[in-house]
Amino acid sequence: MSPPTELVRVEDLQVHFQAGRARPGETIRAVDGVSFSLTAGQTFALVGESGCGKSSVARSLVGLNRPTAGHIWFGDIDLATANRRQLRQVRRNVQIVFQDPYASLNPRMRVRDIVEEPLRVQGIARPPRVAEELLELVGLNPDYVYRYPHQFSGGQRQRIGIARALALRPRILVLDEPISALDVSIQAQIINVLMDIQQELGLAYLLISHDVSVVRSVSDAVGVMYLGKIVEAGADVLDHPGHPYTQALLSAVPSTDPRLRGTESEIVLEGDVPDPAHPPSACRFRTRCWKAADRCAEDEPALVDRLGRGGRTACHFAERLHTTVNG
Amino acid sequence: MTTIESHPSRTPTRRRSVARAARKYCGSPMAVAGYCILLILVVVALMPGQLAPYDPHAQNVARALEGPSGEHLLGLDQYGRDILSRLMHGARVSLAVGLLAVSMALVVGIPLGIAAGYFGGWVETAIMWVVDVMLSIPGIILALLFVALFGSGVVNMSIAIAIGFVPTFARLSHSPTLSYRQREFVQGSIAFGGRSLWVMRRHIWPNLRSQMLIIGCLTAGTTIRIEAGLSFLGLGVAPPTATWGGMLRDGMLYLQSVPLYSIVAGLAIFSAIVAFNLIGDGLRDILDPRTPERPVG
Repeated sequence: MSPPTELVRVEDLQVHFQAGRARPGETIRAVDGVSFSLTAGQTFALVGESGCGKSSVARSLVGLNRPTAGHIWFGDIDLATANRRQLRQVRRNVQIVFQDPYASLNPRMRVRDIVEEPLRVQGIARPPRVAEELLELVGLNPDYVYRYPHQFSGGQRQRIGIARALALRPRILVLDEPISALDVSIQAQIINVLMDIQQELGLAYLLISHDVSVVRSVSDAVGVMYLGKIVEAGADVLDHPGHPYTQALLSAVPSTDPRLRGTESEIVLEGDVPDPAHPPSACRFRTRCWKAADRCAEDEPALVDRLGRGGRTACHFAERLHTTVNG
Repeated sequence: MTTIESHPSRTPTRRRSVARAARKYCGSPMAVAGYCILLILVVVALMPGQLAPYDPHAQNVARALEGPSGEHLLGLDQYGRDILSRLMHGARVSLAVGLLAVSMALVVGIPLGIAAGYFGGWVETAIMWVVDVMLSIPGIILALLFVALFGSGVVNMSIAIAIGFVPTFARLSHSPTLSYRQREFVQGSIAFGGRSLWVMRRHIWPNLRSQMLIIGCLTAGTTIRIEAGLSFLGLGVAPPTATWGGMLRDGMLYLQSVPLYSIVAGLAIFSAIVAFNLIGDGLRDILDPRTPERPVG
């Protein structure tokens, strides 16, 4: 990641929420020290199960959550301390595609108004056929601009959502579970649209997903999140997992090779994800980890390169586990 | 990249959905009845001078309380004034106050409710606290107080009645705003840089609009009833101006001898309330946000 193409640098991001009235005074540590950077033309993916804080990271990046601590650098603007004008400026460059294409389009607006909305709210002049061009860019018939969202299928709606996100010609696109609400048959289409657009426009993607196989096929680098922290990150962590949690995640993905069925040892984690208001001390995964030792409760493993392969792993026993499973 | 085939329909869909809505109105005879009654009332209220057979203030004490005849279809009141003419002139006051009151309550209450739901925090606490306090006081008491303090013209009556409905509309727009606030299209608009006023006007209000129209319509019946009630109590627009509530009260004195007097005044009030209720129910059917384009019937 050479400095000139680095578009966003997230440093030790923390997003905490005050718990509701039922649990007064408690702090939910949704994101608790996450760092990564986004590079033009590349996809960085955050994977993890629901509730691990990956969507909170995405929302912080588009300015929907204020970071509690840490920094989100867009050039020399830090979202954590940005004023209103700077925030608006950043928002021109970072756009978001939401998970649920049924909830993310206002049912009362025509496609033209939906797609042109970012231009309007930013006060940018709208060329006469901008909506049509955006629809073409995502593979929709430009004649659809007069229709309402409910006249479209889920996949078409998601294309409209992508067209809207591209209206401002952003440099960074945050994809918050962009395909998980779609039929499996449509998912590949949407992924292809996104990949084509990335190539064409050189966008940096932050892909939020819990679908390990999709992430593996499209991302250039991956961060595996667990309970608000990245436990493992790197280009090939999904092919050569070093962290026990990554291994558990991967073993839950069904194999596409029938000959391998039944031969793979599936790792089934016990218990639930701990309460993010009271995370375990030191290593957060130790309560469900089959390798946990006394050391894990006292000495938090740093996210560093432990395997000498360019990735970073936050586990004291990363090396050994790596060799055990992947041989 | 693939292009998905379209149906060859480029016409803006608004005109077609209006036609469809009209068809749906016709499909509901009750709503049509409501529109017919309201249309008659509105025409009468707009030009009672041209339509009424007599001057509503012309007295003929010698023929007071005379029954219906070919000359005076509904008879004469205690001062010998033509009851039909007075009913027609009364429509003006009732409709004006009823509609004005609802409009004022909507215009004040809905923005308050949306602002409370959208901004949350202390704005919500402050607005909803005032709303709760106002809801605890019966609207008719507030109206009486206001009329007693400021007098009872059409505008004052409308304000007096509207005050009681502001908290209702604030409440009714507050809770859906809370849920729309969390919807992704609202969050998205904020993420694109949409300012608060834009988001409330373009995303939240359009989704509340039809609900509020229905509730406003149903409430118009209630405000007309309250106006009649205030007039009945002698707190309405001052005599000799004809009001339905005032006529109902005057007729009460002669209920034994001339029951028709009170009955027709009551029927006038009833017809207006029924008209608004029928229209409100009809609107509820056609304005469901999820069915603007689905084939109807």
